[in-house]
Amino acid sequence: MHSGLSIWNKSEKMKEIGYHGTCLRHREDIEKNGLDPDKCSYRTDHWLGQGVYFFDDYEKALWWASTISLQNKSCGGIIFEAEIEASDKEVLDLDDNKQLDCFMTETLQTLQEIKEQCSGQMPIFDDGKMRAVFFDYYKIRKGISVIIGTFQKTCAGYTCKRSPAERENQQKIMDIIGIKFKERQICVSQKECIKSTKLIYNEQEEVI
Amino acid sequence: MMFDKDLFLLLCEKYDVELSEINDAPVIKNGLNVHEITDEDVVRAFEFHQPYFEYFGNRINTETMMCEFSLLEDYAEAC
Repeated sequence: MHSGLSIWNKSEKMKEIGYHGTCLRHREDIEKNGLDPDKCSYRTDHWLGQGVYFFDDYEKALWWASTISLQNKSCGGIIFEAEIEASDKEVLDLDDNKQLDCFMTETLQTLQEIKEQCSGQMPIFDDGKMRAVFFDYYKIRKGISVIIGTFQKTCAGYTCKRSPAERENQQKIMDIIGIKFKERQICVSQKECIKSTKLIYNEQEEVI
Repeated sequence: MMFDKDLFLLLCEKYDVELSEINDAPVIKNGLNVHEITDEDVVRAFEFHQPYFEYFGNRINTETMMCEFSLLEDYAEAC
């Protein structure tokens, strides 16, 4: 049974175990070249911008790898475990209210500057593109290598299976109580922050 | 943090963001609605979406749901 291990020394650096779930076809490249953020494509469904994404929980990575496999003609899911290390100043932890507030302040300011300085080249965003551009812009300008954020959802594929009617009621209850399933994700945009990468799960080698 | 226009435009290119020659402010598309980006749009965009994947029988349904928040506080009334 795998569990996330986090050692946080606030005065110096972050050091945490992360789990990256992906499709089997990427295994050879990752084992040869490591998990490389520069090889990741720019996607607007990257909720924290461009980079390699990790869960801090093995079970969630397992669910994600299985989902990816199912969506790619049962290509086979795999999970890599890695140590994520970065100095404190390179980390943006959006679960920290102060850091989140700082990010929002800077983003709103950047928006104003775009309005003032991008005449003739004014962007037309959708939510996904705006999120990705502003996260990447902030990361590069501030020298951020790691972004951490916790997502919340009222339904999750790794929980008990429920009928559509049950899911609907579940969503209503969660909206009322204000507590939802949480997924903490870590996005790493600098390769040197990803260390000791090793394959710990291969769906095709599982004994049934 | 001084604005880096070149970097911003480079990122727009990487994410295939359309640029307008005639708009005088950045805008956001929400379905058929297009409007100048407000602070509320920024807050909403960074309220994390919830991709949901389900395997039900032989079908895989995906549905993205926006976060919904309810005000749970009661305001005190002056006696």
